[in-house]
Amino acid sequence: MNEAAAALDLATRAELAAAVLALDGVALGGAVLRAPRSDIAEAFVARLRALMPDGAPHRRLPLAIPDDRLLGGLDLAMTLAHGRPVADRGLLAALDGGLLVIPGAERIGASLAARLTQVLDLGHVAQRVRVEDAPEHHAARVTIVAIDEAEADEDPVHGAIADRCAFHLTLDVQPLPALYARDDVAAAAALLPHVITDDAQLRTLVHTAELYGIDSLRAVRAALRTARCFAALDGRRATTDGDLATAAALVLGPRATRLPEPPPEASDEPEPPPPPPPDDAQNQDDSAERDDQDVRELEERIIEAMAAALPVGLTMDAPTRAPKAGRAAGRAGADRSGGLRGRQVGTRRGDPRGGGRLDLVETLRAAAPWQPLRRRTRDAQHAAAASTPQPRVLVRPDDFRIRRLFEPAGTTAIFVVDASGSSAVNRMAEAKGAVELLLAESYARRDEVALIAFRGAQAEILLPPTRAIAAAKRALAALPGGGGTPLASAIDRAVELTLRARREGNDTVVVFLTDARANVARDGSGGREQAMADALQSARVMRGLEGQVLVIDTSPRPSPQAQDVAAAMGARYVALPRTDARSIHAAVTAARA
Amino acid sequence: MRLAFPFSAIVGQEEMKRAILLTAVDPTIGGVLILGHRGTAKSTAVRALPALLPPMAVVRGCRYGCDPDNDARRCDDCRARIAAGEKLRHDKHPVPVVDLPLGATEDRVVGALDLERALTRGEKAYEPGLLARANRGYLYVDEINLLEDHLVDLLLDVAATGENVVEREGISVRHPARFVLVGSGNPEEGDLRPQLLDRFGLSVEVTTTADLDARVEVIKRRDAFDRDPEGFTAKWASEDLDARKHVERARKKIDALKVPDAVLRDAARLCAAVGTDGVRGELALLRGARALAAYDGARAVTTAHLRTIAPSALRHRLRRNVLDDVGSAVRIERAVADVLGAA
Repeated sequence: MNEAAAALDLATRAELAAAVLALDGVALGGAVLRAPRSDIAEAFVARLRALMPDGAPHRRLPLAIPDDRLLGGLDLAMTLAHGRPVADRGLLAALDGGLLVIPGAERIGASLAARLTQVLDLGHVAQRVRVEDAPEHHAARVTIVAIDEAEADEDPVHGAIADRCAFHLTLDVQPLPALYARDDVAAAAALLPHVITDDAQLRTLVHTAELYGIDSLRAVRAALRTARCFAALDGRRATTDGDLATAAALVLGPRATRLPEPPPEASDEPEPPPPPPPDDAQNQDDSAERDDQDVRELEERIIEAMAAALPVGLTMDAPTRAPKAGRAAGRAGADRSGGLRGRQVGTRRGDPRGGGRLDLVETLRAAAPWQPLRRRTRDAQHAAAASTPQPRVLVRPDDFRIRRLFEPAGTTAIFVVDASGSSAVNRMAEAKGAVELLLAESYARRDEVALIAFRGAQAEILLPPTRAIAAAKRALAALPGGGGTPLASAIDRAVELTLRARREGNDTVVVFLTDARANVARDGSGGREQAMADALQSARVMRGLEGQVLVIDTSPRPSPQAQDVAAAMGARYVALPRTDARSIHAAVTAARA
Repeated sequence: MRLAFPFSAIVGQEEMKRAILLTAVDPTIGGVLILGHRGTAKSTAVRALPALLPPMAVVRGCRYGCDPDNDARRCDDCRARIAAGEKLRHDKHPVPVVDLPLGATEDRVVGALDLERALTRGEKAYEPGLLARANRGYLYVDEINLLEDHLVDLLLDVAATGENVVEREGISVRHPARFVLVGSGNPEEGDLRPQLLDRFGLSVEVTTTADLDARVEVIKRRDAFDRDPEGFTAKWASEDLDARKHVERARKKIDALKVPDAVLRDAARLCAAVGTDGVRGELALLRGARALAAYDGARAVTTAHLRTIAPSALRHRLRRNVLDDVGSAVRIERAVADVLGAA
């Protein structure tokens, strides 16, 4: 694998990752896997299982899993049946040394992510129920495969999980090439603790991460361990430059946020800085000092290997938008839709441990009619058990009533800003100012804010719903102006975000700032007539959602097009011919009230 | 159970380490808020605390971890046992550091009716929650900025009063819950409401260090720890012990430390200059400076201590325009230079 690291295809990368995870998965967290079809994802999981020790446990994680099942708790059915506490140690503890597969991982919410990261970091779960002789902790050293099934512009897997998974893989074919066998992994496991890395290699790895704008040192640590795994799998006791290059391509490549700046002319100052003398007795590793030339070669080799693994669309600038991780978690907040907070509006049958609050009186009322019958059944079954203390009320899980709570939903404000040439000239500055004011206000109200901009061929979601004001502000500041007016595409994106916000239980307010002079059709082609027809068609879809929509006409004279589009959307229409940011803000506030 | 990475082996992040150590010297400083990106040793620092801090004496069998020598802060159970003539025995336990995961239910946090006993034996009993476990120690909330506001509010309330009052499902319990709240989060992913920010004693901003040597050192130490946790921990044990001794010495000294009037006046002027509302900023500033002086083994609190602690004590209290980009640290530096003169 030392040769042509750059040319590794996706399947080979996945195979290498599988072998490394089978070897050192607990320390490396696992993998985030993007695959277009589930059979391909399954092929990866199957391959990983084939390399992991025989009999290693393996489970799939249902995202709606209650804490008691995930982290352990009281086994309610058994407890009631036996009249004494019976503990269930939970899925993660049962999975110690095994593999946890998470389908639909992009839907992992903040709560589940927090629980998983805690277990990944600590490697154990605490005993949550007081039971005689139970240990305080259960080991739960798991490797996870998070299968990311998100559409292209949906939020990716939660940042806290993604950061802890060494590998971010994309896979489009199966089967994987079987480069290793289970025995190879077992042999490597014995060798792995003895594999050493020299100082220059480590420094170069750290430097590489910096060049590509990767802040997380977790990623560097993962790359280092991966390189050692390669050495061990090859039966060596020291990492080669090839190991480093391949590990960098696999672990660091997909995380790059920018391209390195081109190296200065060779005649200038030496670059990179030469490694300093080994600092103290702490590194027994570096026996021989490596010269500059050697280090430069290593660096070039890594950069070459990285090239094939980089995400598309990288530039040499620092990213102007919030990094993916931040975008993913911005919407995370509280899981609001569960009806677990707020004012009580009744009771329903349910399990009180999924976060629901038990309504004791209703539970007993539900159990009451069955008492004579249950007592007879019990006495028939446990004739001998009369000496043990018996519960006074026989409650079954079916009796549980939990409180139904009502909580007013949050609001997602979706701003759709026209950045086209016709609109931009006069109005962009005002629009930006107004949006900033509204952002500040939404922040104070703890609403979510999303931003769509449209210009040129189509509309773009600049900022998915978030409560992070800094990200919103950056997205807005980076918004350029000029080009056509793809109004239909803008409305389509707004419909999309509205539906997404509704799924999370939020109300929506959509605010268009536009002159509605549509001249780009949905397919990206020019032509006013088709563009307007498409826009009106999209507008009718928006109307079907029955949400609050506001159209702020930013043209110098009230434009009939804007009125037509507003009417088709069932939106309120406000013409603001001579306005500043404050009057736009006032109009939106009025519409929202 | 895995060993925790030693506190002293954390590279850099001096402000964070100092803030955490100062809460060990004087827990009444209030909570610590740590803001920064992923992978900046936030969790590592907090999880390292039990190994760093001196173990504490705990009444045997007490569900709230009562201090055998502190009559004033005893729980009702212990009082009842003493009243019944029992001689309380005690053990040494590490200082608790309790994790509060996002999405934990209120029941889990404050405690609730013990379901199993209620249903199997018909008894009304209280099952203590995380707040009880955190008594006399630390409660750590990662991603506190994503925690529901009402929970953050509740945590800060309990931390401030030192008592958890539970009234629900027919149970009525109050028990001591004195802990230092440590919250961490990535501000890019959402902010805390200003009202909540103000209630933290200290706040620190951590960044990944840009210095290549330091970054290499971080990876090296982490790697050395991963490969041989016992050996690595043993190697840093003397430094951890050193910090522990500092904390113990400072705890003995702090009550006797005087804050001269000139320093009090400087603190007030500093707070006025940066425009913090209310008295919380001043209190945090003075308590922080005092704990710092005690930790340093100084004879008195000086303006230099104020200067050092000012960014941590005040940066989260600035009335801010959310759209203003000037960093709060910069604003405080300016105020410090204006009020106290250049360093």
